[in-house]
Amino acid sequence: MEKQIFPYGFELLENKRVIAFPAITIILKKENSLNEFSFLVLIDSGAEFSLFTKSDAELLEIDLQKGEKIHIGGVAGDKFLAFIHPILIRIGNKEFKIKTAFSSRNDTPRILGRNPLFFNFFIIFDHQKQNTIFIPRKVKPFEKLLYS
Amino acid sequence: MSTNKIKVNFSKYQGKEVAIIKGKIVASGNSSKNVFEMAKKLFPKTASKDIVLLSVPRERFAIYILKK
Repeated sequence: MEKQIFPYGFELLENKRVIAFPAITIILKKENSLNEFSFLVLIDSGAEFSLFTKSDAELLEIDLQKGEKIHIGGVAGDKFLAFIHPILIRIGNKEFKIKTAFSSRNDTPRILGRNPLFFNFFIIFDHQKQNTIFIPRKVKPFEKLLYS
Repeated sequence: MSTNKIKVNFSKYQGKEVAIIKGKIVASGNSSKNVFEMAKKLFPKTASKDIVLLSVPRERFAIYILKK
């Protein structure tokens, strides 16, 4: 079965405590640009869409304020401004054009949200083995297995 | 592109942006652009896509739910 398995991307170490995070390395680039940049991003099924920082937009040479302006709310009720831009994203060997939000700030999290990636993949968090598994939606036997 | 698990000293890098090359943190700061440029200066022969940028969470247990 076609699938991609990504080990949890990073661990925070503090005293004797270790916390692993379901993060994967993705590559972003602006359309028609040769410059590619790698980001280790948290996969967040609770987030409606993906979010990157103001500085990421600068790195990618995106004119932040030319995007569609939106207000984003966090879990604590805090709000901040962001701008939607199209971007090319590579996950493993698959590349997609997606719309993603770039924050007007640098102190916001960098995350990979549901829309639109969760439409393209079944995403499984194997917390015990600390892997995130991406299975393309077109893999019909897996879909059949899930819904049979 | 590295797929190994990166180990991050939380007390040292809490809330920071870090640049990682071959699994090791080589630069840290407050913005991805600055950190990327620092890493590129230190390792000019490394391809840009082999410098991995990570935002270290500000809290150990971060919950993010973003809505428009």
